[in-house]
Amino acid sequence: MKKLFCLLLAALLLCTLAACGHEDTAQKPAAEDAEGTAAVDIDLTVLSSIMVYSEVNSMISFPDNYIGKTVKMQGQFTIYQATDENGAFIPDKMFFACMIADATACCAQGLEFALAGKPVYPDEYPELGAEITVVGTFEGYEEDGCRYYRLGNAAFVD
Amino acid sequence: MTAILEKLTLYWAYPFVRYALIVGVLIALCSSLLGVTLVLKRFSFIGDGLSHVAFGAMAIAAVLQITNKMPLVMGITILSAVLLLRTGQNTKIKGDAAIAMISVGALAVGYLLMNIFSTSSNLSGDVCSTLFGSTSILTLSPAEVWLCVGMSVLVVAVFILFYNKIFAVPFDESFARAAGTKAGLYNLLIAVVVAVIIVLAMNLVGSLLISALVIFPALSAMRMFKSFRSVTICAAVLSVFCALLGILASILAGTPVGSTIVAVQIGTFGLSWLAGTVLGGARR
Repeated sequence: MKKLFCLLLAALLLCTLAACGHEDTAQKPAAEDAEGTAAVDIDLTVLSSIMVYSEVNSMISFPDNYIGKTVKMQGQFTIYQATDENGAFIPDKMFFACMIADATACCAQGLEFALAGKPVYPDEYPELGAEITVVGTFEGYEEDGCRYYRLGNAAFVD
Repeated sequence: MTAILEKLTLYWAYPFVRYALIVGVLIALCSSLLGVTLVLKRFSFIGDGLSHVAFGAMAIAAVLQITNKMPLVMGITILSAVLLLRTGQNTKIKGDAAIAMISVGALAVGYLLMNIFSTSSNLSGDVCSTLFGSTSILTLSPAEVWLCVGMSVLVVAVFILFYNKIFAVPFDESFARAAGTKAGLYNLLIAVVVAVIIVLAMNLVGSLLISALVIFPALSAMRMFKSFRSVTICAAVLSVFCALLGILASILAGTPVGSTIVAVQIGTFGLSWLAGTVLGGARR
């Protein structure tokens, strides 16, 4: 019995070596996007909902592995408008994001994006809550002493 | 089939999928090993009770804004396990009542604390994630994976080293005591190991579904086998198989990991029951 369990334990320890593998971030070979205009390093639109949630979580948790990668994602369009200390909206501080709900629908994970050319809101943006597909380059930026991450130089695609 | 294999190959490249499979297998193995003992001791619901305690402890850690919650959660859960498993038999409030009391009490206090002193912008998400596992297993960091590997190796090592005692105490504690076995000490050891497994398993299936990891493999194995050794080995194999299948099905179909694993275990229990009936008939 002990021999059997020792073998089992040894097999398990060998299995765990898989965790020591190279810390790649699952980038597939760059592929052309729907319009064929840009290469995509991380295509979140081909993943299941739970995988998308986990990958975006990974991007937020380990951003250094993703900086400079071109990301394509699909989700709900949402905005966040910053307020001052009196609770009044600051007109030029508006942030746009693509939100993705997880499989249990109780958690949502999102990524901010900044469109190339700085279009005017709301004329050149979709309706709030609309399903969007956006492609952009994952980048970090400083705001009020905090570091945030977003898809820069982004564009909506079909 | 080819599409599924292509999808699996694609997903295998993601580190968090590999981590989830490794941790899932280890937790499933550990929980099934102790599951047989707990079912025999009529403590099937201790997993549920202790996981609720862990939830309460996690709420306290969140309120205190402790970054590394594991030591506090582990400490409180081990203490509760010791109280329930070691002294629970000799107190005025007996086994099942004590588990029910601690379980519901910890759950209520935990949720209350999280509501009153919430520091998160997504309270319902945090609670849902803790209770149902949600995507926790797919959001593990390498450090958490290594911690889980270490704890799992420890649990399996304890099981191997004290296999005979862990076998003897649940079957007949009085006889074990009469034979000179320090039953109290081994009950304490079982309590500590159970608490460790519960805290680890919260990542896999969430605190509401942990009991499934503990009882289903043991009960499925008991439908087909009769000896402690064969039931333990079968439970371990079934548990690992269900965890692997559940995680893979979950990432392919985009369903919640915890409930998918439990659904696979329910299906396996049904098949085991059928197999047990057929085997039983054949033996007669």
